[in-house]
Amino acid sequence: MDATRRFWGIAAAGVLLAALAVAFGRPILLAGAGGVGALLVARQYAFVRSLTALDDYLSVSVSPSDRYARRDDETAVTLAIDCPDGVSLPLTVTTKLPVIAGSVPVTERAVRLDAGEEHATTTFAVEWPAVGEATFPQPTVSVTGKFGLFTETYERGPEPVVVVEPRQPRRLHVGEGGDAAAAFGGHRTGDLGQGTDPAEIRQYVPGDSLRDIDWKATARLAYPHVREYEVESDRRTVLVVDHREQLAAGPAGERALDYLREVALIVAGAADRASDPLGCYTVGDRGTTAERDPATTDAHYREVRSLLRELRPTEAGARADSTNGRSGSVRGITDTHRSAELLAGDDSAFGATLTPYLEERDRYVQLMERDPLFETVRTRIGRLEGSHWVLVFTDDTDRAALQETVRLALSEGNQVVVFLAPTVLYEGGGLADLDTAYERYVDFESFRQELARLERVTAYEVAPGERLDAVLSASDRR
Amino acid sequence: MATSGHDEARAGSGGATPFVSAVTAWGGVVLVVVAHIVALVFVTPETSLVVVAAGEAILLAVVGGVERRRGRGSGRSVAVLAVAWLGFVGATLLLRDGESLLFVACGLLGAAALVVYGIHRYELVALGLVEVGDERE
Repeated sequence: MDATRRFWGIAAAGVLLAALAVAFGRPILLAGAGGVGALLVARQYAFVRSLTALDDYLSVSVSPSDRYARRDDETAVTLAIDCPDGVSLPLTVTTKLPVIAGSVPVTERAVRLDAGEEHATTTFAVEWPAVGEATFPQPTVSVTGKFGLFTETYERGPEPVVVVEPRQPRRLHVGEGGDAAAAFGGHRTGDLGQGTDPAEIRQYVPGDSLRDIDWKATARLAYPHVREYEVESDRRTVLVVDHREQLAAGPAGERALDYLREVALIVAGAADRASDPLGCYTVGDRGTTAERDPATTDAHYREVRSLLRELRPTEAGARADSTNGRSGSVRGITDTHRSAELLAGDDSAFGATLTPYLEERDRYVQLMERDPLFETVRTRIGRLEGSHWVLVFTDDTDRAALQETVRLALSEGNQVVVFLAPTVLYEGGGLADLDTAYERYVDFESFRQELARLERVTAYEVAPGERLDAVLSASDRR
Repeated sequence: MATSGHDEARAGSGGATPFVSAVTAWGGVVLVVVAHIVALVFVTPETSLVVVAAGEAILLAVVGGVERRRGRGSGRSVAVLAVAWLGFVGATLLLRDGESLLFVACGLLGAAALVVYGIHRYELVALGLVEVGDERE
């Protein structure tokens, strides 16, 4: 319970009477001070009594529209207060926000119930700029006494939880012709020979090394046997990731590039676990934006994953900046993005001065006049020695150029895996007409099969599962 | 991110305005103060305690009526007013001759503060707002 200025004013009047009584030696003034004190006590008791009765009947509820949200989404939250017989004291109930919630003006998330009223409700939108489990603290009930001498603030009501998930592809589909791939990127060679993983035991034949004889098997089977091992390989993996403007198709967080990025990260993680050499080249609208030649250090794997996570679609018409510094280019993109985001809402002189220098600008390690995907494969993959496992992440916008690129990537005995994002499954209004979408998907599928028919080429589609299911359902209706 | 606790507190205390106006809130107090200042003229050290007590009783009845009508208070709160009046005013009048006035004044203020604090603690318990840290103290 907090005393208001009005309480202190009345209390001061009582103290003044008492002081005057002492000063002038007049006990009757002291009796007056006693009367003022009695008034304060009676009013305080009345307030407490009303407050406890109110608390018995007051019902406060906070109801988010959804228990789950994605980062940067908005959730409607309804605050409702009920008191069956009407409240005896005016009160205000304010919803408190979780730490990770965006700001909402207090006036929007508070409701007031005047004396005699029974029900009040308000609905406001909460934005989620951060990811995590957001617990709404209990709403704050603020009550003021009838005479305005006392206020009380306490918490009542539920503590609902909203789980905020990162924006990322909801259901990633990687497969062929609508069927999910059981696994991609197997690591076995199929050859037997020297290695560490036992494969099989066979009879000794002339020419086998005596060191390969398995003496226990020989003793058990009464004939010399040798043990063979699986041949291990270092699969030199090279990622060629297209992040041109066309890969920006789709809603925020679920763009074609986001889905391709998920697959690329999976491959990068697998390469890390197997300690395979991993390289990565990224392709923007006007050339190669970053290059990481194959390496096997932990820092290198981290750097590649970081590079993939921070990829954003470039702008076809944007001015490009060429830089020779490899790490500098990627750091430049990251730092610029972060700084620009930090200063986005800064209206101060400091922000206004710096913002023009942080405007979006795509950086390139090499500008290219011709098709940048083709040129990146030609200049980057072509210079690598030995055969590699080349994984190309792109969409089907420019099919002829992609075919040329894949053929070029097959040189030097490379194996090529193409992860293709079907444009029809990412476009904004792509599924408005399911029959048309299905026809376009069939066209895409024939292109994918055409690619997959090339020797040493595997082609997978990378798509949002729900949208793919919707398109395939059109074929069932036919 | 979420608004600070200061904003919440501001919304809470400022959001609900008092039920009665300042005039009504001060009405009973002014009545008590003015009545006792006027009494200075009529009450002398020789005035009988019975007369003074009768005057206080009449004043209590008037103030109680005003409180009940303007503050829409219950009979119980008026009863509490009567008890508190009887305690504070009665004790003051009874002790006025035997003790020093300063001692009685300090005692009166101390007793009033103690009662107010006691009701405050009772409210905390009734609303379940007593924290573990408070109980250990």
